[in-house]
Amino acid sequence: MRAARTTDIAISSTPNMLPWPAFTLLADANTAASVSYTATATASATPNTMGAWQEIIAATSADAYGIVMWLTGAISQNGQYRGVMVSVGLGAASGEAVKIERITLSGNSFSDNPIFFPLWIPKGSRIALQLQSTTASQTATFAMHLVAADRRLPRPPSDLHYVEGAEAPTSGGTLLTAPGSVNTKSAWTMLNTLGRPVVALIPILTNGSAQQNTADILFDVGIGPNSSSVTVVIADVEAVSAGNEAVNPRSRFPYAVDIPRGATVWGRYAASNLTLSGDKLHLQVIGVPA
Amino acid sequence: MKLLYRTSDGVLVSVGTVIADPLPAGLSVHDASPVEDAGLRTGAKQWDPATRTVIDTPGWVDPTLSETNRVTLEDQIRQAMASLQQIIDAPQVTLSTPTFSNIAQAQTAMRTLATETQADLRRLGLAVQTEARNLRRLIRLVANDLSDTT
Repeated sequence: MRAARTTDIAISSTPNMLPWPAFTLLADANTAASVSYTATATASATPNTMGAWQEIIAATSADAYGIVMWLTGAISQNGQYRGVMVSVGLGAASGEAVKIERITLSGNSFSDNPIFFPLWIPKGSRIALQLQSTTASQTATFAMHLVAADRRLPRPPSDLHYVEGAEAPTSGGTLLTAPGSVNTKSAWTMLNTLGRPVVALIPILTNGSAQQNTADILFDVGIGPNSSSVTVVIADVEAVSAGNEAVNPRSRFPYAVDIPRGATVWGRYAASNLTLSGDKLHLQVIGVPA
Repeated sequence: MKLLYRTSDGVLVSVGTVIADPLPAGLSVHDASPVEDAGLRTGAKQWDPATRTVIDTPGWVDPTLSETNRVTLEDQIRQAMASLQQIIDAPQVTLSTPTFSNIAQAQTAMRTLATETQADLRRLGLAVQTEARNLRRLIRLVANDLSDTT
């Protein structure tokens, strides 16, 4: 048996590092009630206007690499469309800085499908939410987890996550062109042109009407200079319209892309139920900057 | 919980426990009481910019109180009221009621104890008398011995 060499010892003492990002939930929870941190935000009494900031976490317990966030209950009644947007900000009261602006919601979407937002949040940060809606003084309750990651991984951005396709005046996303036949993708609808390069996109598909239909949906996100030259960057994300006015994408996490500044973002979808074509589907994408 | 509002028109700006220090110009703070805080969290109360106070939300109904729960609670309250009314209206209690049956049993027990105590005392008295007789006999014997000696 040969003698151990210095390099052997060095290698064996190096901690293993996962080859892929793995996340750990931080212990930020309301243990007195056995729930995650929750907060109810209230939209302004003026429709389509952001209401007051509502604190959800007063001070985070450790550095966080992102948040997992979801709606804890329905925000509309069957047969009623309510456009709702929520922004996430950091900072003391009256000094909040928006970090994720105008995430669109509809019906009880969000509730069973949490969204993960990579975002660098230093320890001790106050996190607050701000809500706007087509309905005056609409309320919505959210829950939130913080996630950490291996510290050897690069930090996510702490800058603003900006949203393409959010239509603030209507508290919804961009209306997508309806398909002409079942299970056939529609024509591309333009969302916006990117103002900065992004390394990931988080697509948010929501219902834009009070229609209640049951349909399976697949939607795409693409980039291109015009509707005839669109390259798909996120393909066939499944969503479900389950007989109420909610539309729930099955997966909501950042999709890795490499899109330069100035690229135009497009969206399209196919549905198993043509009735849905008479409804309105809204799409927005949240860009994660490099 | 602190509520930050614009001093000029009372519009709510931010709600939370951590506020900027110093406050930006034009903002004021309302410290919510525990009752107000609880109401704001459930929606039972809301901020009123006109009065710069926390008021009851008009027409608010507790969503956690289902119709079934409401009916059940009302029934329970009615039953409790009926029971209290029965007690108030009840006639004089008789020896047949459980309460007085227990008292009667207690009385019997006390009487028995007293009787037994009496017997014990009698036996004690007899024992004392016996001892007294024995003591007197002893004294006479001692006295006789002393007189014989002299």
